[in-house]
Amino acid sequence: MRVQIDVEEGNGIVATAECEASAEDTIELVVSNAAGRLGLEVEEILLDLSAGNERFERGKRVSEFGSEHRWKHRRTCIDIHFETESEEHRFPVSATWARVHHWTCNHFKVPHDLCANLELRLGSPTGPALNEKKEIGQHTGCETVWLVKPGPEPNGFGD
Amino acid sequence: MASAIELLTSHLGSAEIQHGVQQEFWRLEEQVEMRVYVRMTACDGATYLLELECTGYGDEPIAGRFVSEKHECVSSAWPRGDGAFSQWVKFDAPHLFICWPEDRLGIGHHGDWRGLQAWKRHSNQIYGYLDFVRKLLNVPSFGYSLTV
Repeated sequence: MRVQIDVEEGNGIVATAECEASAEDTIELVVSNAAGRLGLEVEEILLDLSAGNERFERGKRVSEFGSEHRWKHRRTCIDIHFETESEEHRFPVSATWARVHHWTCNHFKVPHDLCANLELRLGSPTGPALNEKKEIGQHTGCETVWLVKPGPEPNGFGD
Repeated sequence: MASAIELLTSHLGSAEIQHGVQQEFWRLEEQVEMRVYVRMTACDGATYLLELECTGYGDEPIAGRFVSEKHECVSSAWPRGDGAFSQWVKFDAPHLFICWPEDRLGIGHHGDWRGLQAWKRHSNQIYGYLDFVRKLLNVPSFGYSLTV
């Protein structure tokens, strides 16, 4: 059978790949055959993959994944700012904000120790914080996010 | 000019507070006049019940304490952490308080902090308080740890 994988950004399909698969193939195998043609990493695609209303689960086979053989991978645009730099990047909709945090540190070469103590804020460096355990979700346009130091807090020592 | 309770109620309904609820950093459990109970979630998923006594809200600092389900301020209700954490959070009885210039109990231990009026630097005072506790419980450098 032929499986089609669509990559959706916003309201439109921006890339499609088709590949041959058998009912007994794992979804991971099929995606690994298509990922190169979509210009994406396998693990990124698996973070947000659905067939109709069914979401991907590890270990499932093609025959167990939806009734149609048309799968969808959704991505959403994040406009990431760190200090004086910025970059737009698309992430899987169902990935967590932790992925944005790690990607930003890798992209801007932020030292590991510093990276762990930064936090994501929505809209501006002083905007509300984002919970990195929660899904990024689908955004209209490109959502602006800042990776910032939480800021020093004065306190009393001792007591 | 809004009364303290009108201002507090207005701030509790603000977009900033609701964003924290939506992000699951905190959940508003109960408001009894000027006393507000908020369930805070730490980075490890543990939750702590924070009592905020807001008498004089807007003019006076909030007094925050972690309490048990029976609203008793006992050591076991407080989050713990390493040496860095204990600079801000005094979690061993009998000295149970948040050592921060914006907290009324902290100011009680550091009289010179009152003159700073640091609690007035946030236009939404209770959001400023909750966002500080969120950082305490979620940013690694603050030293929170369930296992300490």
